[in-house]
Amino acid sequence: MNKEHWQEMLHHVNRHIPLEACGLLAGTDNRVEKVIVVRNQAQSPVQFVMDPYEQLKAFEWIESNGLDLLGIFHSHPAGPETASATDILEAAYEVVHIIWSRIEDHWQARGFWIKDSDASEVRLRIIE
Amino acid sequence: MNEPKYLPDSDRIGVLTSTVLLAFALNHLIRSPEFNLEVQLPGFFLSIPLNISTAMSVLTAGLTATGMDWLLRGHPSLNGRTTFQWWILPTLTTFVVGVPLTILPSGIAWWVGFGIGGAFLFFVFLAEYIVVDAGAPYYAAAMAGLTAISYTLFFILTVALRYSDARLFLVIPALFLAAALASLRILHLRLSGRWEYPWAVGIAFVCIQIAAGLNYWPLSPIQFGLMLVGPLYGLTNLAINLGEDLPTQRAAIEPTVATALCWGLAIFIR
Repeated sequence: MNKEHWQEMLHHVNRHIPLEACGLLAGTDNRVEKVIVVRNQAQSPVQFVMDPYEQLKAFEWIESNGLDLLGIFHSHPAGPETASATDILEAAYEVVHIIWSRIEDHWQARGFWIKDSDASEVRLRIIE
Repeated sequence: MNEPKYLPDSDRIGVLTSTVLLAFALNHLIRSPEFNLEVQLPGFFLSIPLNISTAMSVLTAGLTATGMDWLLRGHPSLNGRTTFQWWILPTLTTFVVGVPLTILPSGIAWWVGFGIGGAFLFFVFLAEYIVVDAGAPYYAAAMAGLTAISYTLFFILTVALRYSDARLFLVIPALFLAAALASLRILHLRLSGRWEYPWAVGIAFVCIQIAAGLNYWPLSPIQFGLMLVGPLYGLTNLAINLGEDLPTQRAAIEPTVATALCWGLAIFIR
């Protein structure tokens, strides 16, 4: 992904403190081309549930623009830095799950590939 | 005195099956640069891969249809009838068998798929030849086999399309065509030669509506296939039962149970 995508996610998760925020990453060939923010229907500091209508609209947008779903991001404003047990249990799509976590007002993002109740970290690359 | 001929000429059916299989093999072996026809239409982005594989798929389907016609020309009970009704399933079989053979990588899996596809094609050619004559000794078995193969082909197609992550605008027309042709052929076989076009189109329409609704659900290919083959089976059997003048309530029981079973399986199988 490029810096703009990174900043867009960062801005979105920061804007929703102390609540968790979420969204989707679309693109092709593992290259992000669009960040789509989705409303967290749960409006909770420890849980996220994507608004189904916004999620469907986002999927339709991805389809109609010839892109693929590459990732799902959400924030952990109060930690942990990694995918939680709930994240692993509820991961439905085989895509990269990006977790934004906040440690002393500083945000960091890590990517995880969740499959068969196991989360393995994947490298995220920011391109200029 | 000539004995009635219920089975096809072995040379003709052999040549037809091997020619179609040769087309599949060539399609797999020849590598060609891919050209994507990309058009941004209002509301969606159309991207159709155009290459030798696409052209070969169309040609192979045409080859099957003409080959089936050639095979049937030797049938003593044809009596100058048009052969269209006996092309439907063989052409659909060729199209459906070609999808997984395009997706599968080279290796044992591809050869197994190739072998199974060949056996499927041979059986369909044979069974379609037999059902030309309603008085043929194997008529009932051939009809049951063709019915089972129609559902199986639809299931294979849905699984293969889901597995290949095909785009919705490709999935929907492919499933519509397959569901309409499969149900049309089954209804024609089971309802003594009646062409039930409205039912076939209606059934296909319901199937694609469900497919579109499930497109973004995180379902495995098998789950997706079961979710769609259930309604195809249920609605086709409902049409048959109603066509046989069964009371509506009785006509709906078996299709409802079968659909529920498929959906139940889809929920528990991953």
